[in-house]
Amino acid sequence: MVYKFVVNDEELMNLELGRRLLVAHDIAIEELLLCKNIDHLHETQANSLGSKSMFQDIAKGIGSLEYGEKKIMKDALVGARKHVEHVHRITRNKLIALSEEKVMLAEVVDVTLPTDIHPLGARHPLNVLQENIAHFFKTLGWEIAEGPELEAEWFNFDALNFSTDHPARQMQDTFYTKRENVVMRTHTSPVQARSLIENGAPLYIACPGKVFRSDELDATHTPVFHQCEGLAVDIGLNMSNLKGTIDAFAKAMFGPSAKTRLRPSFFPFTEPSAEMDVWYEHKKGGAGWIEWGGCGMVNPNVLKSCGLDPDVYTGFAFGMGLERTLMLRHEIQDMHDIVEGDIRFSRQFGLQNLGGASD
Amino acid sequence: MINVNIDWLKDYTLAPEHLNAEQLASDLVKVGLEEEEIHKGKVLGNVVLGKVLEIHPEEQKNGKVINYCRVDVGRFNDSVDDESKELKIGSRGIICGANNFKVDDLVVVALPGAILPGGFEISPRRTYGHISNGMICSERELELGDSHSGILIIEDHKGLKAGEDVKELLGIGGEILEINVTPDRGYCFCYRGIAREYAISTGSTFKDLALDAIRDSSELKKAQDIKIILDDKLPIQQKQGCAKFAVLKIENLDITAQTPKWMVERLNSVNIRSISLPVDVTNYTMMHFGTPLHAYDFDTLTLPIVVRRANVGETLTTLDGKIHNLDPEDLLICDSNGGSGARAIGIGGIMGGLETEVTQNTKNVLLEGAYFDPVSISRSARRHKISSESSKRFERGIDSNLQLASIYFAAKLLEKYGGAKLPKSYSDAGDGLPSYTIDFHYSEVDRLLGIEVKIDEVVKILEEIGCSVTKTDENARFTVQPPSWRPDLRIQADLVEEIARIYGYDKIPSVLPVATRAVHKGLTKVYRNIEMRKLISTTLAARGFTEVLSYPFISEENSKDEVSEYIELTNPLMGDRPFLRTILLQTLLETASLNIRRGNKNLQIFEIGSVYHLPKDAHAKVPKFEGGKLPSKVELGQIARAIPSQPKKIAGILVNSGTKKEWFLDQAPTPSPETNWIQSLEAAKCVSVLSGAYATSSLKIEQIEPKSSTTSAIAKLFHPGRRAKLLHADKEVGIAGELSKAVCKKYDLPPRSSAFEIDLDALSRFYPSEPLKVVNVSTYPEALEDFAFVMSRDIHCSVVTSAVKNAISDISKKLKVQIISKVKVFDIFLHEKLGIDKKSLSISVSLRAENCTLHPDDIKAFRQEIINSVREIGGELRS
Repeated sequence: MVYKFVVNDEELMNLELGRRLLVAHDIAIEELLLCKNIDHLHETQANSLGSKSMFQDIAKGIGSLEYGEKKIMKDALVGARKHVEHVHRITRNKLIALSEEKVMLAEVVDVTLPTDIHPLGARHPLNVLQENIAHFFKTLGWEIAEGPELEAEWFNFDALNFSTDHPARQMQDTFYTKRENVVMRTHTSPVQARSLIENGAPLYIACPGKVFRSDELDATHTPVFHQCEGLAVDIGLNMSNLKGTIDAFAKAMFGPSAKTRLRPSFFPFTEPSAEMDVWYEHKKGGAGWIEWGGCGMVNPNVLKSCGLDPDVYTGFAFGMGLERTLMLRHEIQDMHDIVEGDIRFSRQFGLQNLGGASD
Repeated sequence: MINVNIDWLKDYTLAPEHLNAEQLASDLVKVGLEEEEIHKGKVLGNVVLGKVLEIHPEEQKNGKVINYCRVDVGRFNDSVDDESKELKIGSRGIICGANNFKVDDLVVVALPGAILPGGFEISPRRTYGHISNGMICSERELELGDSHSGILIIEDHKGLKAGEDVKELLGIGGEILEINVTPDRGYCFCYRGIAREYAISTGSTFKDLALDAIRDSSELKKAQDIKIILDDKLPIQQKQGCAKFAVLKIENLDITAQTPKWMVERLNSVNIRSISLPVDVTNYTMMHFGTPLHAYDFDTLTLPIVVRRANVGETLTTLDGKIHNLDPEDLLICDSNGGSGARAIGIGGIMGGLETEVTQNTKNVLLEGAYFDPVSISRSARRHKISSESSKRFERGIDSNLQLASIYFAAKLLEKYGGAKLPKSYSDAGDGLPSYTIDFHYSEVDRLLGIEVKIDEVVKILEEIGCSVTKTDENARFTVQPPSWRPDLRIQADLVEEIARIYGYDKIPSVLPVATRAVHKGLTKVYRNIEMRKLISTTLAARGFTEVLSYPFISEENSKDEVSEYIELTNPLMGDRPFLRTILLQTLLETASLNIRRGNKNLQIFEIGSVYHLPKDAHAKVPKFEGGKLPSKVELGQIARAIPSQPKKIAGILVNSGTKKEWFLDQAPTPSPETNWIQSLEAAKCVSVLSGAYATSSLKIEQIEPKSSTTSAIAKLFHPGRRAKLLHADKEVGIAGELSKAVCKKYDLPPRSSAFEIDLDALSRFYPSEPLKVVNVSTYPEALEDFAFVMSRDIHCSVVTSAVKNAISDISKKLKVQIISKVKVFDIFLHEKLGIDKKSLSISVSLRAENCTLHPDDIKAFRQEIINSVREIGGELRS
């Protein structure tokens, strides 16, 4: 706010009332400056600006002045009051701030106390891993597929070229149920057959999920575990595309330095078949190859089971155990920790972040 | 699975002299024979050749004579004796109790630090007044045999000098590679097969001993003097159970003849125990060529031999003494004791009978070499739970062209080591397996592999594995006849795999395919469900829940309620847990219990997992079909109907032991056991809302009455007065509330533990198919009206709020204004002055018109109607 107050105006000094005004102003300012707290300020307010103020007397005196003097005094009085008011306001703000500061100093807390009113929980890393895998394949333009855990033998075995009497079928350690021809799926591969029959080709799917084998629980085995299956069927797909896909997937799981190598193997549902190893830079004890899973070109009999002509379509498939992936990535020593449900295991992983390349 | 003895391998191929197990493993894995394990030898450390220099028999007080020997062990010799006197000739002092050796004999000395079978570590010891600085070993101590005749004396030291390691000489110390043979490659269950692969992998030479054996056996005349009748009246899958059955009669065998040591050692190295010369010879031949043979005591047999299926009720005692009830699908070898083919003398290809086995009294032996159908063998082996060396090979498919050659190979060994008369003729039956060819297009190589392998290379590889390749008239098309030992090669893809694995998988480039041809379906239902589960899980985790996993197996005790029927496993791993859960909480409660027992006192856990129910039509059966062709729609429908229903559920458990100590307890709201049920409902609601059924207005919570007659199995887990069902569009989707006292007790959970379980599959069906419609945000002022109603305690809050909402809706219709309202119970007051069965509910109502300011008269009208409406359900405005 702009206002005019000329203290050294000679005209004012020449008037008796003017001199009184100057004195009144100075006293008021001085009183304000001497205030130590807000209560004191309230007390002085009456003296400086209120009814007891000397400005009141001066205002009364103005009426008897000459016209010219009256004008000077009126302006001067307004100016003086405004100045006092201004100083009052500043003083008040200052005193309030001072008193609040004092209160707050008395209210000091210890912010290093634990503040766990709503502590966070945690995700199970296996499920987070499956979500990350689904996300990875979605970015490749693949679809995610799921299927039932209690499965018809036809989907789990026959459609995948495991004939009833083939040793490979016996080697699966299958959990059979008392319902005829119903087993707990031994791999996620039946989802391949289900998806191919439902959608036909071309088809690019990834199927993370739970599988079952009658292996006793120990440090490295569990009867209930998780796999991720991948399947691509199209015209013109070959083994180099399989290699390209698992290389990309390995990098997503194990970091940019990861690469894969294939070793000849056998699976009824692929021909040629291969075991795949992945090069893992952060392997415990030094970078090296680790066994990761199986893969191959879809066996023509599987395509036939799903109603596709193997002379037209080719495809590749791959699958890996996720517990193993998890154990390698996070240096988990004992399978028990993953499967038992002790919250202290999950809680180490927090909400989403598994670290490394899969995020 | 099968041990690879390098020495044995060298019968076929020129392996480098110092080939070790590790190098061998890396050579074999290249062509697909994976290392299972490298076994350390049973004997470790310094076990060396020693020459006995001096023997000092010393009689002990107990009359026993102990020999103090000085033995030359070359570089391990001491320069002083045990009394620190300088020795003229270096040697070691060793105490030995045996007496079957003399000065200058060569013996085996285990030096201090060596470890003998059974983990027995040798150390110097003071005994009988001397220091015995090592041990002179017996056969038994080295596990070379059972000979008690004292210490082992080396006759043929093969140029070894004193002090040099004898482990290799004795075949006891070396590491041995065990490989894994995939089920398609039965031919690698023998040295002929492994050696061929080794030669292919390393480029080494390969000498096929089987070809020599075939050539040798061609000298035999076909006499057919032993009559064999193949009489399979029940072929499995149209295949004769026995395609070939050849026999040789071996006469005048010296049954007391010992199996030569080298053969025992070779058999030991592949984990086959030496039994008797004829049995050892058949096993040895099998390990060479993969052809299981059987030896009968000829003089116990009555000819002719008949191969037939078992009769109903027939039994056989096998040579392990077990009695087997035979199945009409079992293929039997029979003789004619008691009539033609009347007596079973073996389950073909699986195990021979006890009555005709070779014994200590056997003089003449009948050697059998046969080809049995893999399917028939596999079924019998499974049926009788016998996995013999023989059945393992037959069920993978053996070489169908080596039956006669194998038994003749064995006969020659029996001649050489058992003094038997070598037969001049043989008898057989069966035509063997028909040969077949594969029409092979060279272009398949590129089509499947994405690499160009030169045509000459392709032919070379196929020939290397034993195929005969004939070029057809057409360009780049071949007729390929797989060898008799490769029944796994059936289709072009099989041949491409052979080419790929030998050409090298590492030569296949890495090309990421672009899935552009795929029909992109946008956000598929499956992916949306994954995202939904992720959102729910993450939100619950952010609210303090920890995600866990549990096995779906439950015990009989836990399944004992008549309400549900269970899926039962035929072969449960945990014998006491043969059933699959029908309620996720059944197993999650056990997880909670485990955590409590481990001291995790305050818990909020959740799990997403499947439960398993009988299909709607509990009697529907899953049909069985062959693979290789698409079942019809009807057949697929049959499968779909008969597969158990397996909805995905989410369940959570909240345990608050009330022991949680926090410094801010009196300053901030903290959950207590008493508020546990509230939290369980809150979490359940949160899940329901997040599941895609966004319109919260369609979510309803209803009390399950304590005395409800239709209480489900899951509701029984809950406190009868503190459980709610969650409904979406009037369909039940879940349950939440406090667990019953009995359940808390059973699982060691603190009182007032609470839980919820929600059907995620059911919820996902409520995902709106159309974009949600919303109302405009009103900027007109809100009218806030508070009420307190006194009513009977058993009137549910939801009844009152819906009465209030009905009133609002009635008046807004009458006034023709769009009202956005909020109705909330904010207090319950119980006091005897209200009456002991009465409560007072305080309700705040917010009213806001969408497009105008409400007039005080309108508000009055709403207020009056609310009071009237609540009165109708039994609530009076509290004065």
